Amino acid sequence: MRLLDSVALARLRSLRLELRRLAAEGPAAGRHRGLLKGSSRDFTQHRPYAPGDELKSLDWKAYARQDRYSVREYAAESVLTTHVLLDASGSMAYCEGGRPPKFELACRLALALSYLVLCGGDAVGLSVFAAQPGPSLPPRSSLSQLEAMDELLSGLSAGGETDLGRALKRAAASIKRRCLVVLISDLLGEPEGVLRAARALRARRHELLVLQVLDPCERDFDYEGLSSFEDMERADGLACDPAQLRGAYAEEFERLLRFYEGGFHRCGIAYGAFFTGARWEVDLVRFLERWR
Amino acid sequence: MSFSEPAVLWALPLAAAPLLLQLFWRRPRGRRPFSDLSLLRRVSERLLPRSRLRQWLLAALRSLLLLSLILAFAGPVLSGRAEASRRGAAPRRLDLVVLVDESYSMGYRQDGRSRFDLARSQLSGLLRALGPADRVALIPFSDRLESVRPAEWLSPSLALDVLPRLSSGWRATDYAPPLEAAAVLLRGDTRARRVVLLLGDGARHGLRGPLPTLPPGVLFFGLRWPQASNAWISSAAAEDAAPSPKLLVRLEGISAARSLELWKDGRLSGSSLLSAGAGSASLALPQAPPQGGGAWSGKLALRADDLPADDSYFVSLSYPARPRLLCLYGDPGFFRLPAAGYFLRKLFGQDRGSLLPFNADFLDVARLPQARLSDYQMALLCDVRGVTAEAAARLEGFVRAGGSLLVAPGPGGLEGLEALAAALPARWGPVVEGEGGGLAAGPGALPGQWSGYELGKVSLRRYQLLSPKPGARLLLRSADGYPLLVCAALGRGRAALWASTIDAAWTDLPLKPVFPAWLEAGLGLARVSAGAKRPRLQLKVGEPLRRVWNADEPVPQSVRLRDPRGREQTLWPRGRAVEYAGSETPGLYSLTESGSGRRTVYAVNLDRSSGESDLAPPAAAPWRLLEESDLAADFRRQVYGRDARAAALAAAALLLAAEMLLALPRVGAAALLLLLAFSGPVRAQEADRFVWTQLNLGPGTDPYPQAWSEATGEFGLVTSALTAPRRRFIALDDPRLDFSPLVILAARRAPPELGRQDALRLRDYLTAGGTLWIEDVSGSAESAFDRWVRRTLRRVLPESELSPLPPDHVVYRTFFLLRGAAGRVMVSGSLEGLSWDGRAAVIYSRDDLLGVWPKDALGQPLYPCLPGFPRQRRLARELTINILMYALTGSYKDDAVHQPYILRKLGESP
Repeated sequence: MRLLDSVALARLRSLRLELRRLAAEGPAAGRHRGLLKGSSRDFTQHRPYAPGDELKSLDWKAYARQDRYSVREYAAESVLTTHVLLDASGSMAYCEGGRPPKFELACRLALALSYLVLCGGDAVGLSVFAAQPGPSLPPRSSLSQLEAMDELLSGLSAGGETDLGRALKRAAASIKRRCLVVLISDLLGEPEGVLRAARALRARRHELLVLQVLDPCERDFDYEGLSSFEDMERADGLACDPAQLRGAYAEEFERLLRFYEGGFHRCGIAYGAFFTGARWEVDLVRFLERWR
Repeated sequence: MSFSEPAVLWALPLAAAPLLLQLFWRRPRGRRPFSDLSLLRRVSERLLPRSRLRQWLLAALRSLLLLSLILAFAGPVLSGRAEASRRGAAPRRLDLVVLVDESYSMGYRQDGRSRFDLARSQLSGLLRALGPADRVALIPFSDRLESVRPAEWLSPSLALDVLPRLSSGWRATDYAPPLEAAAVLLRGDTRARRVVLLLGDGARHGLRGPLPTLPPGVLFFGLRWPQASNAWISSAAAEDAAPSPKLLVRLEGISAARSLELWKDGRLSGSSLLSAGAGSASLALPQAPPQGGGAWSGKLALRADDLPADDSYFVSLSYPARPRLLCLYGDPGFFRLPAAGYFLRKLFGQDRGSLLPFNADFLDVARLPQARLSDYQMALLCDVRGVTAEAAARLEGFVRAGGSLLVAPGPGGLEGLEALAAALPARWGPVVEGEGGGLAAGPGALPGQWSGYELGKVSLRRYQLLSPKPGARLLLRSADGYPLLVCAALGRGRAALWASTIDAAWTDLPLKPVFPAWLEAGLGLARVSAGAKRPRLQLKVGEPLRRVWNADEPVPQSVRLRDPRGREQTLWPRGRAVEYAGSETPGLYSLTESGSGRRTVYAVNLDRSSGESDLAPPAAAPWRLLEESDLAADFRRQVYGRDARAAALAAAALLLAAEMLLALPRVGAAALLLLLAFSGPVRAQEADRFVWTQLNLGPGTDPYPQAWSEATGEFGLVTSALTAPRRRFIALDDPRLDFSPLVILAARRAPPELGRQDALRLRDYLTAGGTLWIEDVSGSAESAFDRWVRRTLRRVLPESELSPLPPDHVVYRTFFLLRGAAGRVMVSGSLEGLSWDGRAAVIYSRDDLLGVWPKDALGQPLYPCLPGFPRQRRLARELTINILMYALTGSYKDDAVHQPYILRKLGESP
């Protein structure tokens, strides 16, 4: 694999993607607790017998004690379907100070999470989006899916304009069943739109994992000298002295992060910020530990 | 403003560099891709206007900073002309002409020294500061040039040698002569700096007229002195007309009550108290002048002020002898009524003295040859029947020598006086009867001479017809116009002729009030009095003393002169006079004639007429003023200018500081300013930290000097209390006691007894909320310190007494839950306390709690615990921390007011 080497895979092997309130929905039986009643060893409840219930589900011991028919219900265990939404807009190509582009980190994170999902026997799919929906892979639970994803992502590069809110709405519309949606993006743009779309996904009872991928320079703005900055997505420019704006920009950026953190927290969305140049495996472990 | 290094000013355009950089160079250097500009743009729009202003301010500050530095290096000189230092060019020479005022007003004393000395001392300093190439000319002056030699240029060092030889004199001031000399001296070289310095008091009395014009480019300086007040005697004169002799003294500048004294021969002869503002005073002379003439000399003295020279005035008075009249008569019944002698004797009566300002002697004309006519100034010839030719010749000689002769006919008219006719101003004719119209003023009478007299009422029954000679003046005539009193000059004298007798037979003139006036007019008394020789005895300083002897006086062979300082010298008369020109000092000079021993005293005084004693400065001085107290420095400032280099550098430093503050981030600048503003009261910042405070009551009250460090370290470590890394070891009168919630007193032996003030102070501290922890470290059950503690606490807080603290006392629970007390030694095993207002204001331990803290260099406890049961040291340490906590928190563990907050906090945690 081009994006995940064997060392990274070895580190990831000890991890499991176990999230709070994570429940699967689907016909395929898997290791995740399902919302439907089904056959498993997890007793859920007794309920009065209704005509049409299978006789084998009758709890005769309960009948002996209570003298009425009761049916034993068990929680169904299903396969968790995970959709990875990967932002490939122009801003994801940003890199500074010899660090890799954000898109590369985003691809690694996508593959790592997909690996964890596949290791759990669940299915994972990938949708790359920018201004328009990009290439995608339907969810599969086979480990060959990882190879396919690696191949797909290796051939991609970030570019173009994007509207994150719209992309999320589009994804929400395309995902029919309740599943885990992993959004990997820099979340730059309109934070209100992103939060609105995330709430919409949550309203459809999807679980959402948001991984914000950033470059430290975007946070610290540690440029020197009067410069003309050009937007990587739009034809826009701004000349300024970074030294003068650095403090206020850092405050504003911190406020943005707090806004996302607070907004996602209120919606019950797991959120974490990842910076290029750092050890992403460690950050990912910390992230998963936090939201376990 | 000028500059010593003007070439540096070419760098001035550099000062615009920051502004130009701001304008042109602060362009974006390159293009940088950035992921998203929305956030950046929002920040930029918010900050850009302020940032631009800040940038321009910074640029302006930097420009000003550069400007200040360039100006500083250019050597700015304010209020003067800088010496441009061209490479290899010699600095301009200074030609300084010093006009040294030697007038007596320079003797004004200021701060115990005369102005002359002060000015000379300041000039010395100035001369020392001059360069070797500079030239100095000293022109001493008063109201004249004091040096006969023309002024010449000297080197500063030579001028310094000359300076001590100059001294102030007794003359007045006139600025014109020395300025004229200075102008001549400075007219030559124009390349040098030319300066005239008037080293005087600069008073207006020296401006007697327009000053000479100095050559162009010459700086003229004077000295600025503090305001001075002075009182002086301006004049003194004898009041001749007064019945008793008096001195009328004119004074000026009397601003406070002072006494005026009259001294004669070193003895006080009289005094008068002057009130403030007095302009004159009158002092009685101690003795009346004799009738026959005489002299008086002495000194008037005011109480000396800061200018003592003009507080003395020397007086020398001479009283000439009264004129003498020789009355010649021929009739033995001359003195019997109605003869003229009767009336004349009444006028010049013996017992009451003469009613007229002259005395008379009566002599029979036959005895004229025996008379010494030189003793008389006037002669009256009346009631004679004739004179011999010899007598007539004597009388004519008397008149020609300067005498005055009045001739009046006798009962027989003017018969027999033919021998005298040539000397008389008129020829006479027959005796005629009078018309009865009285007298009238003649055309030769002086205007108003007869006014006030009723001449028409004088009855003239008979008179001699007169025919005035040419040149004669007719003083009186009859009502019909006939001449009656005629006079004419003869030689150096004067002769007059009266047409009638002066007895009651021909006229009633002697009975009329006009008779004395008639006699004075006839005798020409005014001329005689005016002609009386009165030597001039009041002189000004510098005026020569001159004594001239009359022709009838014998000239002495030599004269002995004695000056005011007592020095004597012999003068030799030349012709009939002697002169002494050395009267340069005010005082009394006496001339004693050899042989006769006759003594003449001259009073020599300062020249008051010039107003020298008035020290007021002129309204508009023609010179620029220099500070006399710092002449050299002020001279340099005025001549060479004020060096503003330091000011420019200071401005640059200020601008640099401002630039640094502005260049710093706002928070940093604010922090720096706050730090600078509040760097003084740092002590207040200890307020939120616990400071270990220990009472210093003398030797032995600090048994464990290291304990505080260990205890506070542990205290800060195990609790959330902030501790200060220092301790206070204070006495009871230390104001820091009020800032210490807990004070520790530890001792092994008893300290000195507390004084009353200390006991009161300790009581105030305890009752105001402070806690005292007393630690008896003696380790014995009976110790002197224990007794001292109980005794002292009974004094300090008699309302309460020490008692053991119960096991459930909050001090055992403030931080650690303890079941009892422990210490390095177990003497009592419990704490005692003195309760005040529901709390333990005093905690008393006898188990040596502090002894468990000190450690050695290896970190091991320094003192062993006794008896050493398990955890004894640990318990003692915990109790220490509990006590500290108790002092800071009080009984909060009992109140449990904190528990809801703790529970709420626990509930909020995830």
